[in-house]
Amino acid sequence: MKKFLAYLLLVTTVGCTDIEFPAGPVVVGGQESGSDVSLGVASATMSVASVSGPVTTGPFTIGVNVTPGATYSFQLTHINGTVLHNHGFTATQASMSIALDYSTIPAGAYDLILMDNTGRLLKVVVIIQR
Amino acid sequence: MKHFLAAVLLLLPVPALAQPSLAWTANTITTDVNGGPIVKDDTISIDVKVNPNNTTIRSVYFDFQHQKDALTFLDVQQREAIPSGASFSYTNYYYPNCRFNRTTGNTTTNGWTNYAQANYTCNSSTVPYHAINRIMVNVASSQNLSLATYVRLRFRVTNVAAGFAYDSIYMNFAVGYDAAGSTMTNTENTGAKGVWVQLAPGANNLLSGTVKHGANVSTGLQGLMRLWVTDTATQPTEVAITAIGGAGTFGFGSPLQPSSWYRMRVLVPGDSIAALSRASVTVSDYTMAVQEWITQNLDKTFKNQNIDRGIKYLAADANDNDQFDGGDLQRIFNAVAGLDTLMKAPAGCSASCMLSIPTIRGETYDSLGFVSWKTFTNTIIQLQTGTADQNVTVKYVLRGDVNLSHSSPVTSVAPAQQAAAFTMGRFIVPGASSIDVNLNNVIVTGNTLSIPFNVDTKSLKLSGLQFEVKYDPAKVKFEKLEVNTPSWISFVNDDKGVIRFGALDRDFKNFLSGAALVPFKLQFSSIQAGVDLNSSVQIYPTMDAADDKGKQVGINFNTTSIKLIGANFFKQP
Repeated sequence: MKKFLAYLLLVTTVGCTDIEFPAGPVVVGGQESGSDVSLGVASATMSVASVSGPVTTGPFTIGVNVTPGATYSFQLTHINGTVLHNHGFTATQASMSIALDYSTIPAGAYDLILMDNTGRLLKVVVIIQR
Repeated sequence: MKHFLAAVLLLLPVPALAQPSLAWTANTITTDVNGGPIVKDDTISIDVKVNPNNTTIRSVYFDFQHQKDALTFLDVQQREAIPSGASFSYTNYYYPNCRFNRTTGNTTTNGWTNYAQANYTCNSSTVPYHAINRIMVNVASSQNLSLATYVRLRFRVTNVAAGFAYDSIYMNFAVGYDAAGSTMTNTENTGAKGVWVQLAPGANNLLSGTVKHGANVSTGLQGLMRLWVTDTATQPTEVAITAIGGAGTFGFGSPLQPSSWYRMRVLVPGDSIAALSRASVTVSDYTMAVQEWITQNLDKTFKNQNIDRGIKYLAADANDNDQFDGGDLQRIFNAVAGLDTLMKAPAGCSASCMLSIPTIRGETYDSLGFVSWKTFTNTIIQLQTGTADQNVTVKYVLRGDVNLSHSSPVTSVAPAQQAAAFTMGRFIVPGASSIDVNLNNVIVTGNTLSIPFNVDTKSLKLSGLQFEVKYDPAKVKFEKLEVNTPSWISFVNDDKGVIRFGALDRDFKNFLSGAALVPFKLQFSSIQAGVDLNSSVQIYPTMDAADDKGKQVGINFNTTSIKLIGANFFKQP
C-alpha cells in the first residue's frame, strides 16, 4: 500500500509533467552532434515522377519531384527492415533524376524508400535480378 | 560321366513354387458406397484383392473380425478377378462375442500359418462388441483368376451411441484352394491386417461446439490455448484435450462415454497468462467500472448503464469477493498502471504448464444477471453427455476485463456488447465513435529524440487514454514520458523494450477534448550517435481510450510504425 501511495504521489499530474522513468544510467556511447548536419529547407514537395523499371541488374534511375534546398534520402531496405544501401542528396532543382547503383546488392525484392527531412516516406518496389 | 550328368542336373534351375496372395485393397476407407462421407446408417464396402501369381487359385477360406455393434455384416460380392461365367457362392459362419488373439505366430504373411496358429477369446462379458465371420468363398471356373479385386464385403454402419470406441475390420487369415481342390498352404496374406472405417468428422461426437475467443486475443495465443475435458472436479483426470485455435471448433467422440459427467476448462500456457491479463485490463476497463461505481444509487444498487451485463460485473470483481466495490476499482487501477497483474502464473509455472481460466457455457455467460453473478461459482463447465452429439458454446472471461475486450464476447445484436478489435492502423469499437492519433517519423539530429502523440478527439470528451509501444533497446534508451493532460493520473511502465503508458481522469471532471492535442511525448536517447540512428518504434495493439461516460472509444492511427532516421542518412555520399 505504501508503495502504491508513493506511486500515486509520483504520477499525479497537473498540466504539463515529465515522468522520469526509470532513473537509470546516462546514455552510454554516442556523442552530441548536429552542428555539422544541415537538413536544408523543409521539404514541401516529394513525389516519384518516373522509375527506370522495377527490375534491374544493378543500375537504377528514379525521377523525383522535390523542393530545392531540402535534403532527402533513398534507402534500399530488406523486407525485415535492414537498410542495405543509403543515398542522401540535397535537391538542386524541382525535378531531378537520381542514378543509383545496386550492383553489389544480392538479387531479391526490396523496398526503396524515399524520405524527406520532415519525416514523410514514399516507397517503391525494386527487384534485383541477374 | 555319371558325375558330370549329376552335376548338370543339380545346376539346372528348379522353378519356384508360385504363391497366390490376398490383401485388402485399402487400409482406410472414408467414403460410403455412394461416395459421400461415412455417417451412421450408411452402407460401406471394402475389397479384397487377389494376385493369382500364375496359380490356379479358385476358392478362399477367410477369417474376418469386426465390431458387431458398430457394423452389421451384409454380404460378399463377386468381383472382377473372378472370370465371368464362373460359379460363385459363399457360406458364412458367425461367431459373436469372439476376438482373434493376435500373436507373432498368427499374424505372419502366410495365411495357412495364421490359420494353424489362430487363437480366440469368446466371452460375452470380456468381448462384448467383436465378432468373427468365417467365410468360405467357392469359385469354380475353367479359367484362372486375374490380378484384381476378388470379393467385396459390405457392411452397414450401425447407429450406435455417439462416442463408441471403434476398431478396425481385420482379415485374420485367408487360405486359397486351387482348381483341383488342394489347400494352398503357401497363400500369402500381404499388407496390413486391418481396415479403418473413418467416419465423417463429428459423426461419432458426444460433444462438439465452439470456443468463442476474445476479439483481441492474438491468433498465436489462440493456437496455444487448449480445451481440457476431465472426469472429476477436485482432482482432474484428463479424458481429452484439444487445440482451439482459429475458429475454436472442437469435437470429442470415443474418449468420452455416453451418459457420463465431465468438466471442461479453457487452458492458457503459463508463460502467456500474465501478458494476456495485462493486455486485457486497460484504461476503459477502469473508467467503465469507476463510472458505474460513482453513479450508484443511494441504496447501493447500480444503474447498470456502464457495466450492463452480469458477466461484466463478474469480470469487474477483481478482488473476487462476489461484490462490486471500491476494492475492485483499486485493483483494476493497479493493473492498468502496471503495478499489479490480475491473472498470473504461480511460481514455477511456465510454457509447459497450462492454467485454466474461468470457463462458462455460452448461454449462461450471455444471460448472467445483475444479481445472479454474485452467487455464480460455476467457472468450470460441468455437463453430462447423452447418446448423441451435444453442441456446446464455450466462453471465457478474464478478471478485470470489464469491457470484455479480451474475453469472449456476449452474443447480442447490440453494438455495445461487441468486443473491440485492433486492425492495422485502427482500434475498432463497434458502434462507438473514434479519435484520431497521428504519429510522424523522426529525423534524428542529436542524441535525444522525442515522439509526440498528436490526438484529435473529434469532439469527444476523453477521460482516459492508453498506448503501448515497442522500441529497440539496443539502439535507443527510453528516458521519460512527457504528459500534457488536465489533472489526470498518469502511468508509465517500461519493460524490456515495451512501454505501456497512459493517463486517466479519476474524478470524471477534467476531460480531454480538442483537435490538436499532444497529451504524450515519449523521449528517448540514442545509444549510438543519433545522427547515424536507423531504427523504429512500433505501436502495439494494447491501446485504449474512454469517453466522459467511461465507455471505450475507437482509435484511428495514421501509422503503426514510426521510423527514427539519423540525419547523416540525408548527407550527400
